[in-house]
Amino acid sequence: MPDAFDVQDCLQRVRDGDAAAAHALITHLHPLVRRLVRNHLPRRESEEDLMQEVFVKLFQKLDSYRERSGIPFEHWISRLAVRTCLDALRAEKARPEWRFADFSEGETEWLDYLLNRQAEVPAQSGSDAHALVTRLLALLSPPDRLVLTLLDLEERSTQEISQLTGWTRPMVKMRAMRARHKLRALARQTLKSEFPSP
Amino acid sequence: MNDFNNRWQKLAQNARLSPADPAGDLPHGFATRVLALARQPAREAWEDVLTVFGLRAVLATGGIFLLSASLAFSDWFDSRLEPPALERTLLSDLTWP
Repeated sequence: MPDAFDVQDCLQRVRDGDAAAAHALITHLHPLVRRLVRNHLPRRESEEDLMQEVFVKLFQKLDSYRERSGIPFEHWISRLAVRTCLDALRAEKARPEWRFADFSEGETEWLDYLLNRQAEVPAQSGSDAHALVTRLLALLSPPDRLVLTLLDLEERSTQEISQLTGWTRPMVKMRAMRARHKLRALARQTLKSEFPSP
Repeated sequence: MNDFNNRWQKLAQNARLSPADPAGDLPHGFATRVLALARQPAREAWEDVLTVFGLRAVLATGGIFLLSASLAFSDWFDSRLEPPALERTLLSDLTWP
């Protein structure tokens, strides 16, 4: 049963060189790591490769983890995963340039809703909204993309984001505000690629 | 901007409603691979710096070598033999009455 999994005991056994405990730790943590990696995955990176990188770092840095009261191990691994993803995003040489024609019908309806004050909420499925959000976020710089994903998609508090990224809370708020400004400009630019002004 | 923010939040809210892909099982041999890689010594930061700058240093050194070689060869094939200006001056001073 997942609830009965004792992380601290497992960590101690891993430190003592118990390979079975290491396997059990990976099995226990992989849904969390996969979800984080999936949300912050660079376009050209494989989900499995990035997950592997996170777990390798986990075992290499395990000695630096100190259990502190009230801070579960999952927070430590989340921070490690987010920082690894940020590094991978930064390593991407180029960001995509979407053309209007790249979007599906549902995505264009959401894009129109985003930029047109008169447009109504589309009656499309959430998957179109998700696809559009993913495309738009990919246009942003890695820190901007990270902060909006954490704040608006994962609904994390600024305090949590501050702990995960190491940025101060005012910095998180400022970065999110600027990121939304840039997002609006980039979305407009994408729309203009189809309807250039005369 | 407020209107955009509201609409962006609405879009994000709908994006969150999108059914997440199932986490699935661990890929075959994943844990074994991870543990094997973790046993290798971690790369030091200075090794990363060397990796990044190593190739650039080799290219820069090669470029400087080619430049200096081309300058040396341009002198090598210069067949004009003239006495040095200093020698000419001394000679003329000594021989001129």
